[in-house]
Amino acid sequence: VSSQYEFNQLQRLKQQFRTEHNTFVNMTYTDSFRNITGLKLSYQDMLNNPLQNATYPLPGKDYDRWFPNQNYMVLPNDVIEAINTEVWNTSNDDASNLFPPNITSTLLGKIDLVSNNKYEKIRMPVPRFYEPATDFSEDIPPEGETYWSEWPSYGELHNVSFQHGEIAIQISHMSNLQDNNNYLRRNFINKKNDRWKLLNLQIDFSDKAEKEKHSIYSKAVYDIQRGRILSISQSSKFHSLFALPHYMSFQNDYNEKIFNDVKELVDEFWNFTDYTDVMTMKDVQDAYNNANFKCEYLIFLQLEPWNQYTRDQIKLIDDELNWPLGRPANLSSLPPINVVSGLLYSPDCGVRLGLHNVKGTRYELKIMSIRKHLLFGIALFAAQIYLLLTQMHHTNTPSMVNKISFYCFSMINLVDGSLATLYFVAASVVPELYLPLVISAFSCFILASIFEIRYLISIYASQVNEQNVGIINLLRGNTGTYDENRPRPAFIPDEGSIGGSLYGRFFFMLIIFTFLILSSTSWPRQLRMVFEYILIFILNSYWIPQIFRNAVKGIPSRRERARSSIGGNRSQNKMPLLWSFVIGTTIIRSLPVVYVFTYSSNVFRHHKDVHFVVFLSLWLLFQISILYSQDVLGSRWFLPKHTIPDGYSYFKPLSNEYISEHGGGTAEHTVDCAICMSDVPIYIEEIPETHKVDQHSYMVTPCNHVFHTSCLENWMNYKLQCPVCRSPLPPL
Amino acid sequence: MSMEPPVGLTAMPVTKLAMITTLVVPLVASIASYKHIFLLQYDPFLQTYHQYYRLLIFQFCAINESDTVILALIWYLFRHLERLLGSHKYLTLIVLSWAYTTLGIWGLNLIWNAFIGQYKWLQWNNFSTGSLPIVLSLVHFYKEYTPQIYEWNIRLLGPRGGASSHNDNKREDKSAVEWKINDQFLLNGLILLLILNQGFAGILCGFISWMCGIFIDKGLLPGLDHWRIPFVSYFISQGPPTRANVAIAANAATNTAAARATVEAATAATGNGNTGNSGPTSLPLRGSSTTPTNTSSAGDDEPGADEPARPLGVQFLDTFRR
Repeated sequence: VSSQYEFNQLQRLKQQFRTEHNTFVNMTYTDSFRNITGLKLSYQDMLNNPLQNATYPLPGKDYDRWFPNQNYMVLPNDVIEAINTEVWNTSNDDASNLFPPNITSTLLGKIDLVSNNKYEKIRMPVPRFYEPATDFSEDIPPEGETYWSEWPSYGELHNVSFQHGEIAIQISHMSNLQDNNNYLRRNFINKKNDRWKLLNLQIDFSDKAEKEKHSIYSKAVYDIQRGRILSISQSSKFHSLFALPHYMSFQNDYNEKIFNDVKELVDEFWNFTDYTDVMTMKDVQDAYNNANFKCEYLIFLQLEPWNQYTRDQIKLIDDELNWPLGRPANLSSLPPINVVSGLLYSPDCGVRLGLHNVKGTRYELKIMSIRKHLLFGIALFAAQIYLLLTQMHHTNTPSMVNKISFYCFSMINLVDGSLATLYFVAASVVPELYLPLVISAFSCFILASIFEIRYLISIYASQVNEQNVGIINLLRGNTGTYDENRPRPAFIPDEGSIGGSLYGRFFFMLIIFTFLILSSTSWPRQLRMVFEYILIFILNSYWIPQIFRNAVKGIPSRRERARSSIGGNRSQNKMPLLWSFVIGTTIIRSLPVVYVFTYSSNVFRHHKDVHFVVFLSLWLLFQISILYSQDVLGSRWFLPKHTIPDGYSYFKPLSNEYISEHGGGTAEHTVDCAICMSDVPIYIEEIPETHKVDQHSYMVTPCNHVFHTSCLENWMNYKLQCPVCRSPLPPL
Repeated sequence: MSMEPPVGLTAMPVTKLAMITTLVVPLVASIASYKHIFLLQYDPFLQTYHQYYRLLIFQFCAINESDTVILALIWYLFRHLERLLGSHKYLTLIVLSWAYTTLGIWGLNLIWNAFIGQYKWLQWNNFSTGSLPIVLSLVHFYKEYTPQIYEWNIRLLGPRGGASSHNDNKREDKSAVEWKINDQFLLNGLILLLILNQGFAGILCGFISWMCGIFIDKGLLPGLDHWRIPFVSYFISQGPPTRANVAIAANAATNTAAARATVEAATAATGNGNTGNSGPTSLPLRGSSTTPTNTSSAGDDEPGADEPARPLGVQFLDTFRR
């Protein structure tokens, strides 16, 4: 409460509820509702006069009697009839049917529109004291009430316009209420706990394309003996809490007993929570918003009995779910919570909806199955870390690392990093799964931000020389060192500064990407699906950059490599990626996608789309097969011969000028190798005596320095810089 | 055999296995939320549900974290036993202890509950968790066969009257309490903590297990003298963790030429020590001595001799360092 006006608003609301509660306490089964908000008019009153205002007392209305028909209820007679015959049609007098007492779950199913224009709309006014203040000096909220026709239109949902849609009902028990004021957890257990339960219901329904979404958040009464659930939404125009007893008991059997039981339950709840005392401004605003933007609904559900169990077995199952000890409960064969029939009716919008095929597993079972999935995911991460380590071990020299595509691993890293963030977010949302979620998040985070980033840093460091170099030069395999026009990089950054910039980039990308994903979950279905498909396709193209990189670096075919490796130390010519890494990574990364898209009852409630998975698998297979063909045929087989320029060759004859310019070694026709400080015999074009020297025994750098082949190759395992003049060297 | 065991768990595969099991099983169980299957109680689980598999597994995982840590520490202290008995015999002893203590505790529990436990309040319902029975059975062997190496006294002086007597340490004080503490006091303390931590069930099961240990040792419960667990020799092939075997194991990890040279020297040295008279002549030539302080000095002249093995854990750490 931040102003006098709001204080008065709250006081008015509390006052209103207290008055109505007094009426409620004195109400008996044979009494009608008197001045309770939203229940002043009955359906018959509206038929008599469609412009009837909701006033109390209505002239000529009989308040001392109550019958379950449209003269006294907000429901029309044929809806009452439908509820009696189609929804709540099992009386269960003899208690032959058993219903589970604990039904915490999320039920999913289909919803169909029965009619949205057949029934008269009951006028439900909103008291004007709910309206926000119009200027700062206003202290007293206005009196009176307003009707729907007088409200300004803000695109509210006062109708249901689709024929078929999907519904999700989240049921949670109110046995564990949190006190708003002092945050003490107290258990609310009513006296007839084994017969009646108070539930919280969150109902969302929408059409298939999610263009029109309705959501109702309401309290409900669960009749364990008969398996019936009644829920009535509540807002500033409809105080449904006081309507529960009458609407629960409008069948002809046991009606007075049910009425008294439910009334007692509601009264207990009222007293336990100090209902009016704990109201806050938020309640005022919520009630006002709900009244303005939504229809009120009465929801009638009938559960399917669990007759295959005895009462003791159901208790055992409940205990085991609540506090697992390994009791012999056989939870895997537990039937779902199944709503056999259901009906939604909105009195103020005149909409009637029917439910079918609504079911879901118990919440605890759901958690268990998610935990299993998470454990499997952790195993996948561990396998990925292992594969990455072997891959890092395989490419332990800068020359090898140089052949690996930076973007390939950036993409993999981005996916892992955003998964870690999503896991962290989820861990704070789902406290039951905190431990496995945090473990997943950490394993993912270690993989992404430590191993992959380290690898990326070394890749980046080995490729620093190639910045600002055109693709043709790269294809030639030289880094443009003897291109005098190009300014040489003033300094070559060390790994520390590269690491800093890469980490910065990583976290920035991560945050952007995670926000994008999180926000995309609330987009309309069409857009979301397009986004999802494109994103998955792009993120699963991670071998494409590597294919290009291979082509640029020009790895010879397998046969040539085998031939050249006979000659000597040709280990530099290996394929940069291990095949176990390629295949393992592909499998690890596509398994979750395949699961989500092909297994129709997956834990993410994702729709099934086998075509996409087949397409994606073929795409991945295509990438791998190209990688394989590069391995076998050489990485440039698909490029025409004339487009491939010659690469820099370290092995070439030298001229006599070179010797005279640089001086020779101790013996004739030799130079000093700066690494081992001994003579290098060289092939000099002009002098035929030297022509028996193997050109492969020494190497000439682009900066015209000569070394033994073994010496320079060993050096190039550490750094791609000339040992003499520090100018960059093209990798082998 | 020297007074100090080699530090660490090299060449102690059974101790390593026991410690890893003690620590990893509870961790995995709690991540997977399956810790409750290690809980053993007579009343619902054995009597009503007939879940006898709990008897087989309850010693593998301690429910409480404090028990887990204490048990891991005790297993580490028990590596003297592995040194003494050799890995194969030690493993056999552990398995025998496991079988006999489980049977003993279960049998006595059945007998008790059949005769005395008719009344609800006399029923013996709770069992210990974790490998407490095995450990207590091994305590007997530890006490029996591990020599006490040193001891010291702690004198707790009562409050003195004035400063006059404060400096006079020599004078016998009647109120002084003297505690004699030996090198095994850490183990004793841990065992006591372990037992008390689990309350009455800990004391009862501990006592029964200790008796089992004595009976195994005396041959009343057969097996230790003639039988060994088959088919495990590959995993514990290096024999008792003598200094030579430790070096062999280290060599298997490093597998460098220099290390191999060290091992040869060490083996030669111990070979001499075992066969010949252990006079000064049989002392090792190249400095691979029997004192623990300079075990690694053997290969000082060769480069890479003291280069440690790089197992997976070290490789992980190197990833951060480099």
